[in-house]
Amino acid sequence: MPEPLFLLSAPRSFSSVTGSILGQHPQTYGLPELNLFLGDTLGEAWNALGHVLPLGHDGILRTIAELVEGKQTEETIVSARQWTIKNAHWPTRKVFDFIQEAVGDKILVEKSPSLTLMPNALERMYSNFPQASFLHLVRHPRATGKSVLELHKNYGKRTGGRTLLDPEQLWLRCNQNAADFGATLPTGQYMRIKGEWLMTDPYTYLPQIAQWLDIDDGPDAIEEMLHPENSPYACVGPEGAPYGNDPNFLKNPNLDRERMQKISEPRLDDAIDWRPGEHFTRPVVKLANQFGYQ
Amino acid sequence: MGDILATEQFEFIAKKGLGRAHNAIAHSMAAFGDSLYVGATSPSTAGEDTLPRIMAYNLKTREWTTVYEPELIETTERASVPDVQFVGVESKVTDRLKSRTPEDFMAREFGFRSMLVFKGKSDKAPCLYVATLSRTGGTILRSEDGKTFEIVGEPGFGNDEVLSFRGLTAFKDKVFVAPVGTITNEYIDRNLAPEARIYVSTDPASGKWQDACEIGFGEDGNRAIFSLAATKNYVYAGTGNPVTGMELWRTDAKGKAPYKWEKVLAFGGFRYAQNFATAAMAEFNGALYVGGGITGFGYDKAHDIGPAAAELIRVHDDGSWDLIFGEARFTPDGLKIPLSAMGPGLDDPFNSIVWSMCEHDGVFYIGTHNWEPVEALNKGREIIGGYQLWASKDGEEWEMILSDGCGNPASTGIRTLCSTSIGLAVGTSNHANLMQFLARIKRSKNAFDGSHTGFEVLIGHDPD
Repeated sequence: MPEPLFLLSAPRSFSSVTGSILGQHPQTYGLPELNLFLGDTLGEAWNALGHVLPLGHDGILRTIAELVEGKQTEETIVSARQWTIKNAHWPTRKVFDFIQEAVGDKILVEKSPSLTLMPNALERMYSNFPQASFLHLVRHPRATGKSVLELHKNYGKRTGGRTLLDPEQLWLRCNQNAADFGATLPTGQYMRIKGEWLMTDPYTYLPQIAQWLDIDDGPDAIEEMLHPENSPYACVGPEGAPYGNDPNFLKNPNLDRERMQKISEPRLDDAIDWRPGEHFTRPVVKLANQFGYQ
Repeated sequence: MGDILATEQFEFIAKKGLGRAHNAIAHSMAAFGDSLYVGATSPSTAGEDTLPRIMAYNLKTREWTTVYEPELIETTERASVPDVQFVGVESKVTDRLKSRTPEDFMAREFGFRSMLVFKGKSDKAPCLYVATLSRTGGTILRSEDGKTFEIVGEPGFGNDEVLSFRGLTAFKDKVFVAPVGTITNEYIDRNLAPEARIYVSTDPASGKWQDACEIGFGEDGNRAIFSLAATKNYVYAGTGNPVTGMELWRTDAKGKAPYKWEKVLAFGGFRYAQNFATAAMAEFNGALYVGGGITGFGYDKAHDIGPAAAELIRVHDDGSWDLIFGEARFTPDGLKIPLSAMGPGLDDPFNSIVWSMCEHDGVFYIGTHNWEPVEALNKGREIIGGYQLWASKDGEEWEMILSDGCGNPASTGIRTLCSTSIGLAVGTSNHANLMQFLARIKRSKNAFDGSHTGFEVLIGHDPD
């Protein structure tokens, strides 16, 4: 079976749309956020999610419903929940192997931004899949921060209305962890891409990603990737598990190419939008510079 | 094409700075007449036994001769100004330097940063041109016979805050050079010139130089020209850019100066500021090889860049480029996977600069700056590391020839390489004085003594 591709990113870094795009290649299978590496077993990860991300169960429930029952309905989500209870003792790797078996000979594409908050989760991911490919998806800290706050404003109640880590520090922590993790890997196993590049110019960067993964980089395959709406997870799911990806993306998964081409990179040196009069700290500027942001 | 020189073919022809411990860097080399010329730099000059020199090694008799020493001039306040790379880093070192009683006299030059054999309009035969490091403004020396030297042109070409010049490069009937470093009454910056300029002359003996390009190629971030090199069709200039990363520009130098330049690489080859500057460039098999680097010990304090190891990039005549070793990445120019299958620093995180390059007998050699010994001292570990010399027949598959400073960890860098009639010359840079000081303040069991000091020169002998 092929080795999976893991997307590493801070929250609100185009990861839902990117994961879905990459998962639509004929030789890949895109998954919603599984968050499995929060624990050594399915049960551990499930319990950890309850503290960290109450919505985080949706991805695994939708995946199991889709792959075991062939569809995502309120009934199959209930069955999937029973499946997770029954198999809570399964090691994380066994869950992935089960999914891989169901998907067949395709590269699994998984993204769980919460993992980048915790270096031990990244280490767990690596120890389970030492040959996997890791793609670090980055977005400008200003745009990321604004998006985090916007989402929290709209969906904060559903997430329990917890106090957010300042978006700037959230960006730094997630991206520094991902970059530090990548620095420990052999050349070529970890790659980084700006989300802004991918959104504005997919015809330049998707073939490169395909070449890196050693899969078809021809125009037909690339065209399929540009239809993330064809993913079974690219819609709001049944009430028991509606999400598993960015709610905004699920409501409108079609790529708006005209809008995408207008995505630009703001500047680092202007005052922070959510802390008027303040500027990004030096560690944030340094890391953002390293990613190519100015 | 010859074979790659083997480790055992190398022998030392100079050690311990040839008797002057302060001659720490074999900063420049050139084969001229029957000799190999070495410009030995003394970062600190205090007394006659510390003076920098130009030494000639006769390739037939195998004997060294001192051919140039600087004049002593009255000390100015520029003699002990702080180095921007050390501000706040080695405060104990700088405090100690500041507390020294100034000497009455100082050397007019304290080093020799670049050499070129060139025949200009006024030259009857090829002459040896040498760029000096001077606290009174860098100059160009000229010698017809390799024994007597004269200064040609004004210090700093009219700006005495220019510390030095580097990258003396011949292209057709012209010679190009770039100012490097700044010296004022307040500070010394060994890398960034007051302005990122390139000068050109068809007659360097006359001391007349013209601007070859717009300052910084019109971009504020280009703080200095770090390297110059020529291929068959172009002169290339590599910049140091702490904002967006190094840039590479080229010109065919047709028409009148300043010439029309074309940007070949930007954004540090899309590794941004981690490819802060080009450090060495040379042509091999028709392509230009560009070695990158970060100033300091893998970390540029002045600009908060790094630590990061160096990359090697190959640029073709059509402007396309390959990553030879470095960080695999997606770029607007396509997927760049290192063709050597090695990451930054040739898979050694301490190789922070590709500092020298040279083709010799059809084989391409590169020398690194390796700061692992300094890190080991700072971390209280056993001291290992030192410069490395690597070789390749095709520019893609690399073999390490020399490592760990050939047994002297204070030899942190190969500053210059030169192809001679008897073999490949390797000139080193030495940090024994700094490491001795660090060892003392870190209470390290490792001690550095006179056996570790001074530049070294090795020759990799061609087979008989």
